[in-house]
Amino acid sequence: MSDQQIEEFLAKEPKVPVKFNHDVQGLGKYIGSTKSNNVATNQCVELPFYIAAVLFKRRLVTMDRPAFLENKVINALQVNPLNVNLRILCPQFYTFAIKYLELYEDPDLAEILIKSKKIRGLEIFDRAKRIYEDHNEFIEKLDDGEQLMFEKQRAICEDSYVDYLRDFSKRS
Amino acid sequence: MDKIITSDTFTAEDIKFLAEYELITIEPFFRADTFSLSGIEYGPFTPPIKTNVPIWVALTLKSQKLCKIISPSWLTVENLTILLDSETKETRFSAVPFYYAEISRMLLQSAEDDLKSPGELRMLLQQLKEKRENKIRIGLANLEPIPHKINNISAREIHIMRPTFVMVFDSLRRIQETTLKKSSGQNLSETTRRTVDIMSSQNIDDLMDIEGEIADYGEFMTYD
Repeated sequence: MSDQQIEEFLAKEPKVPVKFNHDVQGLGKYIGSTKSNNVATNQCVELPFYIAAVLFKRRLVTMDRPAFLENKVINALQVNPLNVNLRILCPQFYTFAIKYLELYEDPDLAEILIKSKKIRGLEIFDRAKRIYEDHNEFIEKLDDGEQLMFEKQRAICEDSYVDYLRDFSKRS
Repeated sequence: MDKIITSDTFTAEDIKFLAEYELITIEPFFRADTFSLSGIEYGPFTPPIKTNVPIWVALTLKSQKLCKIISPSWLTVENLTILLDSETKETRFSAVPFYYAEISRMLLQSAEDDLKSPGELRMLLQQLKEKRENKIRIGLANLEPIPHKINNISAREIHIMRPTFVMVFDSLRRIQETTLKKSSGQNLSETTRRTVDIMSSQNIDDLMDIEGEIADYGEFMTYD
């Protein structure tokens, strides 16, 4: 399994709030309802995204944004992308956001995500070059994909720095 | 045969290995007939006559003091100054050889005495490298999810920018794709449009996957 496949798989896990449009019989035990085996119209429950997506596709439910995609978070991401701690919100933040956008089209959200991703990517590119600096605080704020990006970029920068040192020591 | 390559992309060593196969002019100090290396014939070697060999051959001969390496035409102070000038003035990358970083490094390491003013060359190459890296950084800051064509970028720079560029670009492209579908279904009502989106070819595979995963929850799947 590649890193990308694991990321895709985990991104289907987060729970999203859904509201049922119909009465559904026999679904209660699968979504953890204790009261009855049936789900009533307008009942709100939190379901993992991979179940919610199928129900949404069959137009049984309407889907809301999960807590980590609420306006508060999106506004913070718009104003200062580098200070948002995506790891606490959702470790597969961007992959989940893409999956969510594929179901629920939202150009404004997409634009904010694109801008923030670029700024965060640039910061990763810059920081990976600074070998002797402490980046732990920054890394804690990155989601899984971004951490992988940082690791790969870092490895390359370290290699070229070792080369540089070797050249330097040979000359002097 | 065992799988030797473990990395999915080129490493710095791979690029150096490929760069060693570039041809370079040498002036041999020995007499020899034509010989064949990896299916290509080189030589004959007669002392005052210059000939072309791969860099790894040239460096091996050089280490045995059997030849003099003629520096490539681009690796001179004049040419590098011109390149540096154009790099400063223009937003495009200037035309350097694909393996310029590796070749210049190898030559400056092992054949320093054959190059004119190596100190100045080192300084110019470092400046050139930094100017080009800065351009890559600007490129990343203005990255758009559209097809890109970058002329005159060298192997070393592709290697340096690969992880961040590929992963950021992939995310941008996937986010962009979710909005592109809007134009096709603008006239439809919202509910219908969502249905169209779900049934469109880009999403259907994903949903099939999801369906497969939870197919065991059979009871409500038949409800439709």
